[in-house]
Amino acid sequence: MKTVIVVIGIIIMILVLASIYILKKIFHPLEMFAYFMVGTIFTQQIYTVITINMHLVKASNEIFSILPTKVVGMVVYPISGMWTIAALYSKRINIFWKIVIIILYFILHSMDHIIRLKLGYIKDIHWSLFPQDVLKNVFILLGTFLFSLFFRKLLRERKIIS
Amino acid sequence: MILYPPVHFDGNEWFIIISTLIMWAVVFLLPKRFSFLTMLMIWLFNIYISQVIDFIIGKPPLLLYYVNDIVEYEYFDALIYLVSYFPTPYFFVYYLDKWRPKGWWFGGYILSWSLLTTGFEWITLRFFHVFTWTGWSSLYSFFSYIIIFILNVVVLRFVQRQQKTIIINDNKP
Repeated sequence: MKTVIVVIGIIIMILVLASIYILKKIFHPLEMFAYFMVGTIFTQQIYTVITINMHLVKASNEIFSILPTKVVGMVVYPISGMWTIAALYSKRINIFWKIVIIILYFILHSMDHIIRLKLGYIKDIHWSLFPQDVLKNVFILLGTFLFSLFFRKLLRERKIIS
Repeated sequence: MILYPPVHFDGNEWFIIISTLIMWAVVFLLPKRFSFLTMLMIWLFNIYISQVIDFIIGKPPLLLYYVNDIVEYEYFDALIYLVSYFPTPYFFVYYLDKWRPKGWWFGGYILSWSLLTTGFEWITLRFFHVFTWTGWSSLYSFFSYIIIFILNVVVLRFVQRQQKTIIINDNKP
């Protein structure tokens, strides 16, 4: 069962990475690069604070746990954040679908938390899915979105994007 | 605690403060060469790469080294990632863009900067205890810096290419 979940996880990660090709049509390459880095930085900072500094979540000491904990945080989290930001900026998507995409973003991240709990890679100490984990994801998304507002303004001033 | 204060405010903290101030003073004293966007991207990239590497191999379960007094994330760790690391890759890309070394000179330039940075890191380790190694060595650092500096070249070229129509100074030799 554990192997099946890990294999599914790897497939999801490959699909998420492949989705960058579609994102290239939505964002300027500089935007993609910047949002990816900022999303990863936010995720890493918060994850380190809640696991190592505040001991709210206990992370497994197994070397194998690096893949589902840290690598997912460096690939799936920032790219799913970029998709959500792309939906927020899109003029073709109406408000209803924007809300649906934001909800999907939170469901994806909550599922990741639940799967890691079930696999034993993390253990909630003073942490729960709601509200703490959802609030953490709100913070990451909000941080990346605010950065994107600043960055798009910067690119517009330089006439790199319209 | 969200971020930890230093266990003892001693050599490593003073070294970080003084070296950061000196290096940032040099950054501001150097003639402007890059656009704000280029500098922002180089700054972001170096926060990104340092955090990705340090948070994988410098934190449990691997924990090959740690920064400052404790394994936990300190105020001074954040200062290092966000402020102190930037000037070194900035000087690297600054003189790379200015001198434009080619062929063997380019290889020599990368190797020289890697050696210089490894030496600087060794001083911070030996005399100021900014880093504590629990399974890491200067040789690993040297090879890591080669990769990091090459990635900085790739990022610089990428950013310059993407904004070639509006570059202020970026393409001037």
